[in-house]
Amino acid sequence: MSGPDEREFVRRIADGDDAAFATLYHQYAGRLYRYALVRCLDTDIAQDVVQETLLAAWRGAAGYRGESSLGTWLFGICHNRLSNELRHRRRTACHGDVPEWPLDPWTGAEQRLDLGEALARLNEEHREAVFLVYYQGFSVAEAAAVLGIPPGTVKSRLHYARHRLQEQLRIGEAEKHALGGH
Amino acid sequence: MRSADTETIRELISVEIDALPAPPADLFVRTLAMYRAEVHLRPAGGRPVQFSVGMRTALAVAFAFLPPLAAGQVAASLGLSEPLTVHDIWPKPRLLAQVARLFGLA
Repeated sequence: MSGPDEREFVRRIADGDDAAFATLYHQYAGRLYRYALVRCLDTDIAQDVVQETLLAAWRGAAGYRGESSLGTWLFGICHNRLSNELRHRRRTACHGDVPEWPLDPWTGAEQRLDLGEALARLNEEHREAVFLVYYQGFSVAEAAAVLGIPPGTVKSRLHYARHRLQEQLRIGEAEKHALGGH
Repeated sequence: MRSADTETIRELISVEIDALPAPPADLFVRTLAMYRAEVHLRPAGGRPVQFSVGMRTALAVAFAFLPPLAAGQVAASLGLSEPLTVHDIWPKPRLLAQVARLFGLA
């Protein structure tokens, strides 16, 4: 969808058009849900945040000028909602083990589980940078706009995340070899 | 894996994230229901319309039950999803609570 098309699409949502809102949901809910899930590793929080993001988009639709793409705009809203939600929950949360990667158990190949575990061990800032650039395909500048941070910070988070993932995967490999040797 | 470069990491991450679960079908129903309710409560995204308690209750009941039923039809007519089941469209406690809050009843 081009810029003017996106503006027209968002205007229809502002006007209360069910079909436009349903289309918005089906184009973005899955991607936003995965983004939220990768960052918070909690399906309940991810569901609430996706719903809130899409409703916030309708509330803010009248103000959408198309200065950023619809995707960047929605991920930016989702990022802010998620940050608020996690901040709120952390006030009473217990800090303990590394949370589990929320993988569908029916699709868990061995290599995926290794990487999922490695991703879960990254902190949420690194996971979300990895998601936006490596999975979502945003440029560093777009990811920086979504996250509200300088592009250089996105680059350094990616660099750190890559390094940690490589390190984690190497450790996993070494452990497997060690166990196989006995 | 020892010499995993950026492209390898990128590909593995894509496979891993693609394998994550999709949002449940009832999330669409709940979200569309809330959208319908808000559209009627805040025309053009403006300030909420003020209703009497009786009117708010009637509207809350209507928006908790009717949009979920309509959601399946909207999705099907647009060819956006698999047909929703009765379980998907039956109002959930979470939706009832959200609509009640929206209408100032909880």
